[in-house]
Parts: sequence; C-alpha cells; structure tokens
Amino acid sequence: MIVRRLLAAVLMLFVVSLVVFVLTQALPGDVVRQMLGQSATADQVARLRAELGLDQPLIAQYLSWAGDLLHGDLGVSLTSGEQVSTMIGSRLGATASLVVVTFALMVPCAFVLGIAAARRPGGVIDHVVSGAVTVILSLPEFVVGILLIVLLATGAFRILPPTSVIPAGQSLWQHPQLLILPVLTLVVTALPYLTESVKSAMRDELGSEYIRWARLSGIRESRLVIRHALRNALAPSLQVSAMTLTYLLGGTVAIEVVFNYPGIGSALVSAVTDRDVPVVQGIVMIVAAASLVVYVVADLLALIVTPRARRRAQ
Amino acid sequence: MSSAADIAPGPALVTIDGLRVVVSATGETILPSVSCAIPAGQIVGLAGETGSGKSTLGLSLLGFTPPGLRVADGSIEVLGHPMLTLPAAQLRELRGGAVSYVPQDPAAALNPALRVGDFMAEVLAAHGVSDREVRQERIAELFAAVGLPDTAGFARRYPHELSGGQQQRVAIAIAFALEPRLVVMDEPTTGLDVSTTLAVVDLVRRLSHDAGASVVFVSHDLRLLMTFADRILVLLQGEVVDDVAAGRFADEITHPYSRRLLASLPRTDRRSPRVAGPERPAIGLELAAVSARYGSTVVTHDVNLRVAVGECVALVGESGSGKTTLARCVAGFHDDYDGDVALMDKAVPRSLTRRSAAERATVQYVFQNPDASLNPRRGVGESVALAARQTRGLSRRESRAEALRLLERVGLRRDHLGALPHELSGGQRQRIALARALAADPDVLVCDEVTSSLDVSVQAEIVRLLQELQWERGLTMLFITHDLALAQVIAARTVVLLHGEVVEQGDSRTVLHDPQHDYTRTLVEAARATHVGE
Repeated sequence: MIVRRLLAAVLMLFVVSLVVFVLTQALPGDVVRQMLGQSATADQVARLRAELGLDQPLIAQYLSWAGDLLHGDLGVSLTSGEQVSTMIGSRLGATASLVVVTFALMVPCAFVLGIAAARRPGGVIDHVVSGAVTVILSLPEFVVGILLIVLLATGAFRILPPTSVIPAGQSLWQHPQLLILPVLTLVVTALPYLTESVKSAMRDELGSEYIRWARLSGIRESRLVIRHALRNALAPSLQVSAMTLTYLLGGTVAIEVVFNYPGIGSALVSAVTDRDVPVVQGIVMIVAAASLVVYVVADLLALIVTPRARRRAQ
Repeated sequence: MSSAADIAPGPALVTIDGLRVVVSATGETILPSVSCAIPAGQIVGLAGETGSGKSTLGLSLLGFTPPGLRVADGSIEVLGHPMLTLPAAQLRELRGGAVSYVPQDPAAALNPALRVGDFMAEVLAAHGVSDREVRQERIAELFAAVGLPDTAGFARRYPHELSGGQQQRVAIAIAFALEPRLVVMDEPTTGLDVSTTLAVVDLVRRLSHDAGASVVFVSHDLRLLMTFADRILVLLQGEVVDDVAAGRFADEITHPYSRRLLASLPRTDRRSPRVAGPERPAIGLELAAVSARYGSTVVTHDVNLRVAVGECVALVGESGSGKTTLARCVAGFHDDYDGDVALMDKAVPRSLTRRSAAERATVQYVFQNPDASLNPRRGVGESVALAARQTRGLSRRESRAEALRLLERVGLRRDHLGALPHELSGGQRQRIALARALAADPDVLVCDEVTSSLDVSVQAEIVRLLQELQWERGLTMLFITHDLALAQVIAARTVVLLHGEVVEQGDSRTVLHDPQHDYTRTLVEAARATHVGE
C-alpha cells in the first residue's frame, strides 16, 4: 500500500516533467534571438542554437533534460549563465520560510477555531467562519495583499514595510518584519477554508452516535472533543491541510510579486518574462515534487490515525 | 468511586411525573404526559412502534433529551435525583455509573478509532477508578461475564474487528461496568439474528439479576419482551396505554392497541389452545381447488393449500411445475383460473385490477430477479418510498422516513438511499426489493426464487433476513424454490408440486429426510448434490 503510493508519486512526477517540458516549449518567443539581440546574424543564431542543444529533436532534448534532472542537474540559466540550482537555492529558502511560517501559524488557528465553531453550531464563531469563507473565496490573494498594504503600510496605519526587499548580502532572518505582511496575506486567504473543513469534519463527528454514547457513559466533555471526536476528524482534516499547503506553494507566486519578495515565485515570473526555459522548468519541477511529497506524507499520516484504513492497507 | 452504594434508594428507583417532550422548532408533541414508576430490580419492557416515543422516554431516564427536542413539563427522579435539573457535573457522574445506557447500534456507537478495552478503561476512569491495574482486572472480569475472551489481545481490538454480537456484548459489559442501579437499553437486539438475540437477552437477565439492577428494555419486539421482562409498558403516540406484568400480558391488557400488537405476533405453537379469537384471521393464505390455465393449457390441477397466519410454507418443484403460476394467482397477476384464493380469511377477486387498495397491500411479491423489478433510473430509496405512498397513502415526508427505516432494517446504510439499482450489489438489490415489498406493510409475502440469482454466501444472508422479518412482523409467507434443502431451512412445512399437482406435503424435515414420492426423491438427490460438504 505504502509502496504503491510511492510508486504512484514517482509516476506522477514523470508525467509532470513531460507536461512541464512540453508547455515550456510552447512559450512564445525565441530565447536565442532574445539573448543575441536584433542585430545577430542567422549564422550566429544557428551556432548558439547548436551550442545549447536546441537544434536537436524534441524527444532528444527531453531525454537529455530529464537525464540531467535525475542527476540533480537542473541546467544553466540562459540569461545569467548561472547554475539553475544555485540560482534557485537561495530563493528556495526564502519561499520555504514564508510557507512554513504561514502554515505553522495557520494550522493551530484553524483547529482551535474549527473545533470551537463545531461545538456551538449556529454560534458566533460558526457564523464568522462561514462568512469569511464566502468573502475570501471571492477575493484573489493579490487583492488581499494589496488591501493589506493599503491598510497597514501606506494608508491608514504605516507600521509595516510595503515591500520585502532584502538589502544585498543580508539574509531574510535579519529582517523578520519583512515576513509579516506576506505571511499575514497568505494566512488571511487560506485560513478560512481550512477552518471550515476542520469545522465540518468535527461537527460530523460530534453529532455521531459514538459521541452520544460516550457522553451517556459519563465521559467528560473536554475528552469527548479531543480524544473521541478529534481523533476521527483528524484524517479528513489532514488531507485538507495538505491541500492547503500545496495551495500555499502556488499561492506564493502572486504574493511574492506583490511584495517584491525574493522567493522562487518572483524568480519564476521573471524567468517566464525572459524566456529562461531551464529556470522555469526547474522551479516548476521543484514545486511539483514538493507538492507530491506533501500529499504522500499526508496520506501516510491519515493511515496512521485511522485504524480501519490501516488494517485495509495491510 | 461514586457508585450505587452511596446513593440513598428512594421508594421507587425511577419516578416519572407528567413528562412532556415536544419538538423545539414546531412544538409538536412527542410525549404528551407520561407518568410511571419503576421499582428496583425489575426488567421493564417498553413496547411500541417506531415513533411511539419509547426511545425518547428511555433516554430521558439519563437526563438526556435528543437534539431538536425539549422537555416542556414534568419531572424525572432517578435514585432520588431530579434528572432534568441536575447540575452537569452530577449528571455526568451518574451517567455510565449508577445509570447506564446500551445503544441500539453498537457498530455506530463504538468509537472506530478507540480500542474497545481503552474505551472501557476510560469509562471506569471517568467514574473514579484511577488505578490502572484495577481497571485492567475489572475489564477482564467484565468481558468474561458477558462471554467474551478476557484476554488482553481482545481488549486491544478495534470495534471493526468484532462481530455484531461481540460489539453488543462489549456495549453491555460497559453498561454493567460500575454496578449500575438502572440500565436503559434502546433496542439492543435490532441488528442481531435470532440466536444471538436470545443469547443477549439471557445475558441481560443474568447480569441484572446479579447486580440487582433495574433494566428498561426498549423494543418493538413484543414477543421478546414477553419471554424475559417482568413488566411491559405499551407506548402509543407517547402515552403509556398499558402497564402490566409480562407473564399475564395477554390477560391484563385493556387498550385495543395492545391487543393489536399481540394479535400481530406470529404464532410459533399452532396447537396452543389459547389461539384464534373469533375476530382474528387464522388462515393467512388459502388456495381452494385452483386450476390455472394459459389459454387452453391447464398448468395446475385442483391445488389446495392453506398457510396459517405467521407460517412459512415452501412450494418446491422444478421449473414448469406450476409453482410460479400459483404464486401469480395469489398476487393477482394471473387471473385465468378456476377455484378460489383467500387472503387473511377473505376471498379476493382474481385480477389485481379488481382488488381494493387494501387487498393489494395485503399481499406483496418479491421477484427472482431484482434487476428487472426495480426501476433502473429511480433512486432505491425513492422506489421504496413510492411503494409506501401508493399502498398506504403516506405523505412524502412520512414515506421517506419509512423508506429510510426499512432500508436500515434490511441491512443497508442511510447513504444507500439515493443510490441507483446498478450501483448496488445483487444481494443489496434483493434487499431493496424486500424493503419495497415491506413498504406496503403486507400480511402475506410471496417470495419467488428470491435467492437463486445470488451467490451462496449472499443467499444465506438473505434467507436469514427473511427469517428475521417473518418472525418480527408475523408474516405469512409462501416461499417458492427448487431447492429442498433451502426449503427446510426457511419453512416449517413443504409442499412439493409436479406437473401442477401436489404430490407430497408435510413437515419440511420429514419431506427432506424421508421422501415418499419418487419425484421428491429426485429433488432430494439434487439438493444433496448442490449442498455437498454443508
């Protein structure tokens, strides 16, 4: 069962690599012409093309790219000549910090709020959560980001920096205040949905027969919620948490652009603008692989907390 | 441990006075005004149909009102405690301790994520048994007392690793864990087969006797209550209409509804002298000299057959012996015959189109092939609900509730309600077909080779379900099959048909083991051949 899931993940990664490769080939514009400028001769263009291997058939190009990928070699950036891995590496840390901090703040909030809302259906928290989901789902994250900038950085309260530009040679952690607005934006966009999921999972469990019987057997309310209901609500909540995490991985693209944040999202956007195909491919593959890892881990955790599924898996 | 010992016993264990429960939203009355008392050490049966408020009354003894309902008036005293006004902390102490509860469906009531021993330990801990070893000992002791393995391995099992009967025993063990004075059991035997039911009832009786506990046993199964309760309360629309000693139930009941409940019981002992009041039908189904024809071809010859109310008779024969034709005459699908068909002591018109709605509802037919008899584009729940609406004139809401109840009764889940027939297995489809037949609330059920298109294991399940249903509802049943062995399992009496004539009939066992007619012998051979190794 676990082996099968891992195999499925590997297969998925292969499919993703194919899709990424084909889509990046379809990017409009010619990178060689862009690199050499308008004055380049046809001869120069052909020479550079051969040098970059771009005159090979597509299948050969894919095989050589995928082969390098398997060795951990993401290739060389066409615009800067830097190794893609070093280029992405520094930025990956910044994005990972953003996602991890957001997730670490959000999950406890979602569980606390979701459980509180589920315990009092029709109560204040329940209504606030449902309302927030409706409002937030209709707002793209960059709109939320801009609204927060107007509110907290440039408009009503000027307490936070509107952009997250790190001075050269310094690390993100020397300027933690730069993280606040991007994290806040991501939390605001993703928290209501996760809370709502926890809430509905918990509400189902709290309304179940086994909770009623445990209550009629004299078990304390606090234990009913944590030990009895939450244990069963955990598996569905884990899956949604994983979904949220992968959503954050994608959601950072827009946020990083809005805040000028030095992560892989903003790197991806500029690489697309420059037709820097190896960088685009590398970033997308890394994000895809990370998402798959998240899902596999969530699946395994769900198996661990569900005795029934665990037995089926054996 | 705040158990029974330090609570001063009042004059009666339970006193309910003018209890009135209503639906919070609509004010609709569930229990109008119930007053009764339960002395210590008695087993009290709470009988009544679904919707009579018996579960609500049972739960109120634990100071619990189901969500959506509200106690409008009255009081409940259990062991001298006012259950309706007791502070939450005290109520929690009582629940699971001095007053415990056994749920209807232990499969749903046991937490799927908790090992059964852990849950039991938790209940003990919640009532002050703080020593781990003491708990472990008590768990082993309780499991042994209810006839479960008292090993640590068993306590470490999850609910889904137990059978239905074992789950119910675990539930009972938990209810008796802290020397309760009162145990409320809400239809604890509904999902169990007949032999498990009897074992569970036996256990309850023994435990309550040993512990000196009163038991309130909520059930729609009057016969069961009559066999083991001390007293029976009959509930009708939330009112206690009769309150009599179980042993003298038949003599002491005064309300016509109780009489009706009693009359609807199947009779197991037909030679018993106290049967058949003049107003009660004795014969559920009678064929008198029925000769059925297809045009000029006569397929049955003067067939006479009587099936007593609540009896199951198997009609056995090969294909072409005329058994299905006879069944079709009973149901009114085939009207080209001489002779008479009577249902519940009343002759009925030949053709279905000339039978009244009540006569049509009286007899229901379950076909061999559920695929062909269920509408493929209609949700199965709706199929059942539609039957209930058309035959009994129920409202949309009532019929949907009835469909859900029947679906659950025949062993399907609530979420099967919207499924289309092709989304279900063959066995499940046959269960749906059964539920649809039952939706008419029939007196007579005709089952035409209902198991022959199913796998052997599924066959056994369906046969068991049929047995339970027949027993519960006192159905008169005509069971058509070509399998003599199967006939012996389900029917007390077997009638063998050859070329449209009855060639042999009698006690099923005798027919199978000592066949008189040559043809019956060949059927016995055939049955042996297909049941090798059983």
